[in-house]
Amino acid sequence: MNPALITPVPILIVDDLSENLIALEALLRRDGLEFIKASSGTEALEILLKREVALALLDVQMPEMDGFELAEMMRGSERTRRIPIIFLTAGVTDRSRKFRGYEAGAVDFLEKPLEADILRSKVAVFSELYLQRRQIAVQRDNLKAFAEENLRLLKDSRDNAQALKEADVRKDEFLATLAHELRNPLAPIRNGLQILKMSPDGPRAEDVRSMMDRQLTHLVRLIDDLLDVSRVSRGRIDLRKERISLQDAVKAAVETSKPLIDANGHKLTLDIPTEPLWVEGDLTRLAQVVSNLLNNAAKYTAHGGRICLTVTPHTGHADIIVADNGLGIEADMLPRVFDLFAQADSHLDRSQGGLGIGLALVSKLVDMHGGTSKAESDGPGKGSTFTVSLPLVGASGEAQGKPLQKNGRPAAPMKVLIVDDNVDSAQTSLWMLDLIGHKAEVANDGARALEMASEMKPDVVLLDIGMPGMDGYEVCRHLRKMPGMEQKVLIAQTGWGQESDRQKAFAAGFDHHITKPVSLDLLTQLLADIKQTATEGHTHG
Amino acid sequence: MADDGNGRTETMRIMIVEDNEALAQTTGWLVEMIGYDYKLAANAKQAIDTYAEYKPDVFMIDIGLPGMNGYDLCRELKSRPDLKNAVFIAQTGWGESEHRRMTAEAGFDHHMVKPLYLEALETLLGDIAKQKTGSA
Repeated sequence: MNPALITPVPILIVDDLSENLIALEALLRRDGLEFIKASSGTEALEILLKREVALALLDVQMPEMDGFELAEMMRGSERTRRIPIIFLTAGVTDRSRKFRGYEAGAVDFLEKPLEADILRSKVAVFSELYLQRRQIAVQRDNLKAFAEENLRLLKDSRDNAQALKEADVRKDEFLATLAHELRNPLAPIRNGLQILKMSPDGPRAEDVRSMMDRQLTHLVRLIDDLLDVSRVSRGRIDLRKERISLQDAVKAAVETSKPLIDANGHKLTLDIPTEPLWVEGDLTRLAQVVSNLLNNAAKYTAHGGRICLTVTPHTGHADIIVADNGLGIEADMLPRVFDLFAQADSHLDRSQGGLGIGLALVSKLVDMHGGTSKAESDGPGKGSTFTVSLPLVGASGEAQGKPLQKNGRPAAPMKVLIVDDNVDSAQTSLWMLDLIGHKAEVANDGARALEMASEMKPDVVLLDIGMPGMDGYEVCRHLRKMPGMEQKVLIAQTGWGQESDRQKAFAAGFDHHITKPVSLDLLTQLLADIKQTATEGHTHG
Repeated sequence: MADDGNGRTETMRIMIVEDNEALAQTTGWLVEMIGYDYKLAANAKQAIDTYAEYKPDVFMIDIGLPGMNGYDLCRELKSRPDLKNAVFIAQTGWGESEHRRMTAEAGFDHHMVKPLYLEALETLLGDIAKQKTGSA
């Protein structure tokens, strides 16, 4: 219940004789009433300055300021003019005195000796009135608050509608950009195919093929970014955190971004301490963070610019700073550079490519590592500085993660069964395996795969996961139960590279999990590793 | 197309204005394999600066060029007296009628949607070559 409704009703009683005050209070006392006593008009006025009262009972005959004078004073002030007044008079009051009293604002006269019942019932009436007034005031306040809340909600919903509208516009712009960006590599790939069709071994063939390779790599990269963004926005990106040195991530990133930086004729300066800085992080993702910052700098800096990559240790954290002398960022754009799809289109030569998702990924990934990202620029043409701060961990432990072995080892021939419902995908995998000296066969569905496996007893089975009917997991479980297949190497091949997908594959009995599209290099490396392990197993076993 | 005096016509010259380097180069090679001559320009400025020397019969212009876009470049080139016989082909990623209307308004004679189909390109360039021979 509202406190305004349970606080007692305040009643002011004014009499110069204290015994009268006590008697009056004794006469009227009951639950829900509070008596405020004053022994003079002056004291009463002082109280009225501070307190709200429901009713004033005034003795008329008082020295200095009598009851009428006090009433007139009360009438004169906005704060007290509406307080009902009952005069208490000794003996019979003549008409002219009564009239003066009413003029002063009295609502009633009661003569002493007072009749207890009458006084009590009059006080009760005024208390009731007061309570009703107070209740109305509370309701009015509630209504007002309610109306304000409604207004706020209305504004909120308008803001939300506006935000949705803007998000929708950005989504449309993004889709247009996406289509454009996907077509950029696709169009030359199609041209290349047509050239090769007309003249498979012509003088251009080698150039065409390497161009197609580059464009395809670019296309794969775009799609990887897209998948990452979709995972990030659904909060479904997995980090494989371990104790790594920040320098390893930075070096990997520089390696990744160097071609783009060189292609744009930029000069890259590195300032990185040699003493390892340990962080608890996902090496690949942190490398992606730094690489995205470097790519961003390379793209938004005119040909022949300068890019500085600095790593600075502080107590408890390290800063990775990527500064360029490029296009810079408008002040109003700065707070939004890490937003998804917030590509600075207005001054972007679209031919530089990109979907405007690199920085969004940076910010999300850094967030997930407990760090912060910051963009600074003195304005258009003044270059940009991006700073990523990551928490450092203790110096114990050793560098983990083994370096990728270089391929080039000759592959020993193995029997490989390729299972994929996508006929083209299966056929090209077969060609690749053929090229690196393995003997491969193809099955286009799970049932056929099981038949073929029992006949050919493959060393390795390359299994697509997403097949109609029996999916890759199921085929894997059946294969594992097949006599002679318990120890064979089963490789899952999917379009999904998330940790949960990997776990699911391992749980089903797979030995390896690779993400499509599979490059020849990776396949060569993986099969060489498998062969080596198998050989070692034999030697030691 | 001018007769070279030996009864053979000179090879038709095509200027390809395209900022996507890989696309420009491969389009050039395709044009060459179909049997025409080509020259690349990476943007409007390069096209304007170099066409007079090359004297193209046909322009293939990307609409989404950086700086001056393809529409404006077409208008600019069309206004030049030495190009009154040149044929303009717009190349865009957009095939909707709205875009076709816009390219037509800018003065393009043809509109091709990327990515290119070899057969379509061969047919179109062949028709243009025939017309040129006929009108020459």
